[in-house]
Amino acid sequence: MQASTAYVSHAGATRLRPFRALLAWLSLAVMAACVAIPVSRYDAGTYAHLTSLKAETAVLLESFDSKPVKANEARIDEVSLSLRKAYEYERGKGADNRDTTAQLTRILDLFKEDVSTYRENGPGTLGKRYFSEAAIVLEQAFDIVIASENAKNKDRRQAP
Amino acid sequence: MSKFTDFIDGIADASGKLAKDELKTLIATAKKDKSDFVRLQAENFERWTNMLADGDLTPKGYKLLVRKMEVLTQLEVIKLKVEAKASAQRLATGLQDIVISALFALI
Repeated sequence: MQASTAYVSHAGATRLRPFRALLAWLSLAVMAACVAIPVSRYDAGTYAHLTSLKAETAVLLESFDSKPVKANEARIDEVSLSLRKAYEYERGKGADNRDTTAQLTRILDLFKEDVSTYRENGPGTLGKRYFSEAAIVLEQAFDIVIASENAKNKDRRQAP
Repeated sequence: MSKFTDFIDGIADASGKLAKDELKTLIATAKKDKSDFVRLQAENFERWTNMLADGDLTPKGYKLLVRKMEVLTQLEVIKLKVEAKASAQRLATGLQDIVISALFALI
């Protein structure tokens, strides 16, 4: 009886051999594909940083249209530090997060450029609503980065 | 005629460097594009041009804002890349879960 079972199993295994080989190759290809896709998982911390920074930077930039530079310097330092912390958080996630890090670099550059334009020109000289429009651009920039984060896959260990 | 097209038509350009009709068509087409990003950028450009026409922006301020559109485009390109990678990652993970974990166990 045992010999018969062994015979059937052996025959079945022989028939399945080409299929198993195909699946083995497929599994290798899938595993290689998993390794070769450098994109980080969705991070709720990143989402929270981005939405908070979007509001903080927009409110600050809008104030550039009316407030003198001296009155805003302390707030500029605070927001610059928050942006830098968010950038370092993203950079610390490593190579798989390089897209978000690249996006944060551009956000930092936009903000630095706006601050530099403000310090050089003061309020009103580029148009009475110039900085409010610059704030809209920065908000649109944040929206793109937030949408990028939302597009990422959730880690299976994270809550849905 | 909108304020935008009136302003573009009214720009003195003796050398003929500015392709006014092409610019108007470009913005009109972009405003109807299926991409939210493209529509938003066309609206930005038209709004800033109207503000320039009304004197609410100086030429320097206008140029600084329009140049920012390049950064927004770079961000959008990265977003599209992330979406494509995440989609491929979903496929690879799904295959791994279904083929390797489930199907392999059954054969």
